[in-house]
Amino acid sequence: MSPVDGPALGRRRLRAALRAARLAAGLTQEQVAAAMDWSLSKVIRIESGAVSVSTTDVRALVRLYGITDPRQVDELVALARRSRRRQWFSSLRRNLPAPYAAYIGLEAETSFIRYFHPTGLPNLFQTEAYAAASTFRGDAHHLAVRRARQRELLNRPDPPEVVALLAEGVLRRIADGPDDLGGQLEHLRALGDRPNITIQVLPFTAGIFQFRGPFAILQFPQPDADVMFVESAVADDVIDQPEVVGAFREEFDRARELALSPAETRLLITRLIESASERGEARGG
Amino acid sequence: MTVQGPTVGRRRLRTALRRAREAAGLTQEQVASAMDWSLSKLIRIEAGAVSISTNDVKALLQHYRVADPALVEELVELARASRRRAWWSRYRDALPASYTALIGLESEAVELRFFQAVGIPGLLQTEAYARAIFTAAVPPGWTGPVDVDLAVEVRLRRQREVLDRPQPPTMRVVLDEATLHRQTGGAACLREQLEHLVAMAERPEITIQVLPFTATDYAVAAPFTILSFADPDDTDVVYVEAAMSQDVIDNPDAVRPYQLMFPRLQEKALSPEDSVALIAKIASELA
Repeated sequence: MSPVDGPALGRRRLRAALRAARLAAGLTQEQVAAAMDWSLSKVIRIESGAVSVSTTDVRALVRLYGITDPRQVDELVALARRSRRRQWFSSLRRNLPAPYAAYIGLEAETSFIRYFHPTGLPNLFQTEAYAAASTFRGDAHHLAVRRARQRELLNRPDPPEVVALLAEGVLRRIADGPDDLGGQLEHLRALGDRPNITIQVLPFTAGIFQFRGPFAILQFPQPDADVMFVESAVADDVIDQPEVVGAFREEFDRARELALSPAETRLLITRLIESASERGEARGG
Repeated sequence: MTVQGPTVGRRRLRTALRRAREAAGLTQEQVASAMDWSLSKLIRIEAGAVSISTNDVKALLQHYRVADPALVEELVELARASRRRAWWSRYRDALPASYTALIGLESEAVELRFFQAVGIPGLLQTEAYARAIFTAAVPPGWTGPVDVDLAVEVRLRRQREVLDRPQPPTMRVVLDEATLHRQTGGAACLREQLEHLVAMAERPEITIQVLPFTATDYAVAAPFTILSFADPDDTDVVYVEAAMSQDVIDNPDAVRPYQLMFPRLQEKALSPEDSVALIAKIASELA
């Protein structure tokens, strides 16, 4: 199975297709609910992609919407089947907030990730010790989910391209802090050496960030299919309005021009590793 | 009664009206229908999204059988206060609602506590630094151009309104050391900004502490501001920003983690004296 044919994208495409078909048939969600003997909320949740839908239900909806082209019917049924397929994270996901769960599903199928974080490291780059020492998302379940995401995504036979913009202050904090954090800086340097991972540091000289908080942009082959995951103190959110995601993607790529090149970034990390170990020796450690 | 301004007044009024309705055992639908209002009018009043006329308050209280004249008078006075026009009213269309809410709340707060990991808090910025931020930064949900002049104008006005008040609020600031190195607007601009910080720290009501890189805090918290008010009935409010949003949190359960986190950050931070010395040192090393 190619990762881009996974359930999360399938569900997303199915929900858009079902919605478009209903509108083309000139039906309201209420009318559909009444005709199918469903609650209104079931229709709403199907169309928002919050739940998967059985192939029987898809066939019934398709009939109601007057879709008769057998190829189109088969395609929708196949999408429904695909959107119900279990993934490695299906069981882990249950106790997570819905946007984060949705993000994990999409992340598993993306071919390109852009990542920005002003005050910490991307989940995918963290050592166990760093993750445990981080202020947020520190509970055991989140740590287990992070570990599984890291394992599945980075060790996939065809891992996604990852471009991460890191803040110089985040690296300085790791280098100057009293703990080794499981060799976090060495780990970061090794990740940057992988062919599919590009790490660039936004140096202090680049000034304030363009962005007021962390986000990840997941890219998909279909046009306008990119989604953005934003973390905030109030609620995480998956955003898929093309104009918003597109604006952030452009800004991200502009910010890369202000950042150190991957080679300069590697040098900086190496320098920080050396200064940290000198300090450690000076302390007799 | 200690409420003076429109924002806190509206907040307290909406809570009182909601409680009175619930005490009367009425649903929002029942009240809307009894008052000949749309349901959405009542919902917006109780959410604090709109102000409410004194006549409407009196009618509601009568309907809720609130008879205590002192209480009625207090709530009517709150309604009056909540309709007073504030200086930022004319910017309301140009600014996000949560940002005008912050401005209203900070203008009535007696204590402001900041944790900043990205930039210097807006109230302590120089004009050049503020301009550099608005020029570089993409506002939440951005898809078009930004009016930098307007943003700077509002920021400077906020500073005057809060810092030049007869009794300015206590301000406790914890800055991630990274904020002192990040050359927003260039080295000269940052240097001027840091010198401004040192000067501001001399004010008796302002305390600045730096969370140094050597602290045992690796992934620091996202920036936040806690606002406290004179009357203990007005519980603390937190303001947070994210890539796509800015939010005012005023549910006490959601505010509590920040109230707990701030003293921990203060403990891990350098003393105010050492902090100011560090800020001055970094400034002097900037070309």
